[in-house]
Amino acid sequence: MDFADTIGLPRLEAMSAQGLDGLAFGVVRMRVGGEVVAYNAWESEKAGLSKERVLGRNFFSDVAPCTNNYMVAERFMGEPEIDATLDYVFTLRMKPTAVKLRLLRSASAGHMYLLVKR
Amino acid sequence: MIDQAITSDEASLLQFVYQIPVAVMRMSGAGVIDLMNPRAVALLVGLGLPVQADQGWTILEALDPTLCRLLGGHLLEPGLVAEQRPVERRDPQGRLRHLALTAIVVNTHSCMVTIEDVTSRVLQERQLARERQSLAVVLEALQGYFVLMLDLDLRITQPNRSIERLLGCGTAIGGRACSDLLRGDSIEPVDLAAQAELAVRRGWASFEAEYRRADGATIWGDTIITPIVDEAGGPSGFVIVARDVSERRRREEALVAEAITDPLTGLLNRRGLAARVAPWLEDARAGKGLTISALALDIDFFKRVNDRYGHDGGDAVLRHLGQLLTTQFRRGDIVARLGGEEFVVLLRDAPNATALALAEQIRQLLEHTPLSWKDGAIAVTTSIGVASGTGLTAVEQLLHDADLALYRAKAEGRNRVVGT
Repeated sequence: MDFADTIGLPRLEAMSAQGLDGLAFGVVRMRVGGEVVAYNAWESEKAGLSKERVLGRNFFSDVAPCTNNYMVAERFMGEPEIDATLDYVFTLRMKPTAVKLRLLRSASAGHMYLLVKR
Repeated sequence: MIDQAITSDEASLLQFVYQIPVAVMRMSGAGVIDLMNPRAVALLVGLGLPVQADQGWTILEALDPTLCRLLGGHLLEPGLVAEQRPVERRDPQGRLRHLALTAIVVNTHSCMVTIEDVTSRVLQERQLARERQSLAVVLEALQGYFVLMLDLDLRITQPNRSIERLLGCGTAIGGRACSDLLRGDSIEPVDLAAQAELAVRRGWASFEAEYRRADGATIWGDTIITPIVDEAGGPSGFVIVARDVSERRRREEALVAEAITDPLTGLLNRRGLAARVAPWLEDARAGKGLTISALALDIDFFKRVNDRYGHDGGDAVLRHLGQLLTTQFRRGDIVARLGGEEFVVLLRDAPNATALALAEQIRQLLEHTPLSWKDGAIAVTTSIGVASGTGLTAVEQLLHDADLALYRAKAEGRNRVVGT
């Protein structure tokens, strides 16, 4: 399953946490507002953060402050329907790393998703 | 490629660094950023700056061209090259952001840069400065008012132009007790501590008081005192705002003086006598009555004086007696002209014998002190009737008794003192 293909929200919503762990790109499943409810193995390993440290915390302000600006966090907050892909820089273990981010949110889904691909 | 697993300690450290609220990056002499924290990405993206590993110098140039020029594109001497340098940059939304930039050259290959967004602090400081300036302008522009800021001990905390303008007090006023500015011998003394207490209870207190200028003059201030309240709601000081009403008071006093003064002699008139004797009678009602003595005087053969010297001469004689009387009696006594050539003196706390003696003194003084008039002199004498009473709550009877004594003095030949 590819990052940019029509994986789509329904598919993601249907996957369990273990299922998300099998994917070859980073997946952060959040409640509307940013609270992390699933953090898959790929992302956890790249960032050096175990799931326990991340679940239940606010992704934008707490877990990944680099996303706390108008390009990522404010878009999620301001747009109830998003499917957008953009180039970004993550600081995984402080190394600036060029990544592609995909922002997914819809009224039809119970959660919002941030997908991360290097 | 699987990255190395990390220990729990390292994971904690990482999380800690992820959350540092200041943008931190490390760049090489060639401008390659090899380490940066998430806040740095958020901030640079938020400022519309490129976030690419090789863009170190570009970023610095965009933020602080002067600093770049200083460094000359090279990292030479180790040390602090910038400490909290103020930088302004407009973000993609058009808002002006204020940043503080710090740069430390570690060695020729490595420079640490931190950037802090201090926009809200700067805006707050500017707001505060504006408010301070507004207050200064208001105080500067106050005409006819002065403002005193007091601490809880009612000491003046800071000088200002209004105090200088109205009270003539400069910077030395700081730290002095506010009560120092109030006249202790005022006819309307003010208990400042009591007023302050009232202000705390009720939110404000107002009074009129005489303030002392640095040059010794007095101004009347229509005053309001209000407490300054701290966050907990308790008083942390006071503000006094006073309006100079000296003119109004002077006019009021002049009007009153006019109403109770005989214009010819400057002595009290009938109304003035009644006003001045009232407190004595109140004391008597309160059981503190003393002996009041009355002297009723009148000028012998006054009609002849008028006939011979004209009304001018007559007036001059009246003034002359008036003057003599004021020199002979105390400030607290009542010396009045009741009309025509009738004078009355009321003495508070003077037994009859004293009153008689004083009356005799006056009689002799007038007899031996003719008034210089034109090329000559006018000599007159006076008849005086004396009466006394103790614990009086009204003076009509006393005055009547003195009048009767005066009548007898005239009947017995004039130029004499007669008691009851």
